[in-house]
Amino acid sequence: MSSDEIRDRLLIALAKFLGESPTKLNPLANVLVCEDWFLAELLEPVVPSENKVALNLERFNQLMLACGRARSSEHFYDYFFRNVSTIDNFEEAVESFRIKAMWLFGNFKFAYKKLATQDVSIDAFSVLIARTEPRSDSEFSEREEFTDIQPIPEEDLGFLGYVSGQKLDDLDFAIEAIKLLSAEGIDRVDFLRRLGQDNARKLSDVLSREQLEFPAEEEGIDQKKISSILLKLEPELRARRDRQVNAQRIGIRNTQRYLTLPYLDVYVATSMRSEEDYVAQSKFLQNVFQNPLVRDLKLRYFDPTASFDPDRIKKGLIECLMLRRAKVTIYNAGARRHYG
Amino acid sequence: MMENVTCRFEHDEAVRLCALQLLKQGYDVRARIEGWFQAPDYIHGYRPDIVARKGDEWLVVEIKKSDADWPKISALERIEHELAHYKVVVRSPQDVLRGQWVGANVVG
Repeated sequence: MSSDEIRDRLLIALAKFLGESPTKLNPLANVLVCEDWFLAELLEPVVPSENKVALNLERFNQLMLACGRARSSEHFYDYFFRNVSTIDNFEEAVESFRIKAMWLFGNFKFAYKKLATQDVSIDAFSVLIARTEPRSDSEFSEREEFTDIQPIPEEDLGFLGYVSGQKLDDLDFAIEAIKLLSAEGIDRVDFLRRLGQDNARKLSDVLSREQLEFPAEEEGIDQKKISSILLKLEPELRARRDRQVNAQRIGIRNTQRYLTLPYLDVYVATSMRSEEDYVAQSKFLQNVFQNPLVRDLKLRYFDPTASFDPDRIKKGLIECLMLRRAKVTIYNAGARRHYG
Repeated sequence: MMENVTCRFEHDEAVRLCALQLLKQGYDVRARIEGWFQAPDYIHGYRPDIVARKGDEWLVVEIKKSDADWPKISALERIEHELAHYKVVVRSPQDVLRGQWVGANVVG
């Protein structure tokens, strides 16, 4: 590899280190505060021969100044660049800095300011950098299994939703309306008029979800048909309501358990409206937390599909609290846009 | 806590039953039944479960969840004293589910 190529790679890496997009002809064009001849002069000893990079703190800081940045501390330089002797090493060091910068601050320029500059003491630097170092997972793997949360059967998860759970109330309403329509002495035309066209249409929709047909007004009310509708729907509603009560009871208990956990590792945020959303989210959680790389950490995570409170405002506040307590948040974006 | 789930369902079911019964009795109905009726307006800072109207007669129906509802019920009952054509009816969900309807055929 020629010195020119190494020089280009070094400039590109340097631009990335500084949080700049390297432009093709002049990678440091957006940050350079010195003239090109001076940069060339600075680089000459840094790139002495093929594949070699001869960096030291003094040369590194000259480059920083040429790029409009404050000089770096010795401990910063030592940590990232002391062992750099080839262009590959240099690029790896830059990549290492960028990863840590993102973890700690989410911003390369700010990370340089907070980690590298000379007013950052070695103690402060060490504390920050320790947060990015690999550490033993024993603090997680040696603790007890997280089994506090009672699971809810997958097919019943949708009963926890404020929107998806509404379907059962609609079915209940439809059944009661049909019962009244079949009652003796009722003025059906007047009843349907007061119920309103939209609601009459909605009744039909609710029944069609159950593969049943609502007898249209002009066809009259077919008692036999209504009896057969009720015969099918009433036990069905009772069974689903029992499952809903059970699911919500478990969800409320789980919410209490979450509120009293001494700590929480992960908060999982999402928006769920339909039953499918609940099932998809539950599967997502299983995939994440049962993954062999994660499972043994015994993470305590907030599963939004296993928690319920009848008051959606209160549920929102509880989730805010969970979010603040957790060390990590996973946001699982749904297929549709929500404002959750 | 356990009972709360059932109580809430019973309350909502009672509101649905009442609203439909009132429709049957010839009332125009506003009710707190999501997706089916327009919600009633607030009365003295509280939104009743149902407000039904037939001619000049107005019926305010509250399905009582628990004794903790007393401030709401007492606020709603004030309208009865203030406006002669308003009647306030308070029922427990159990009463309604046992068939004690509100409306023309029941004294509040």
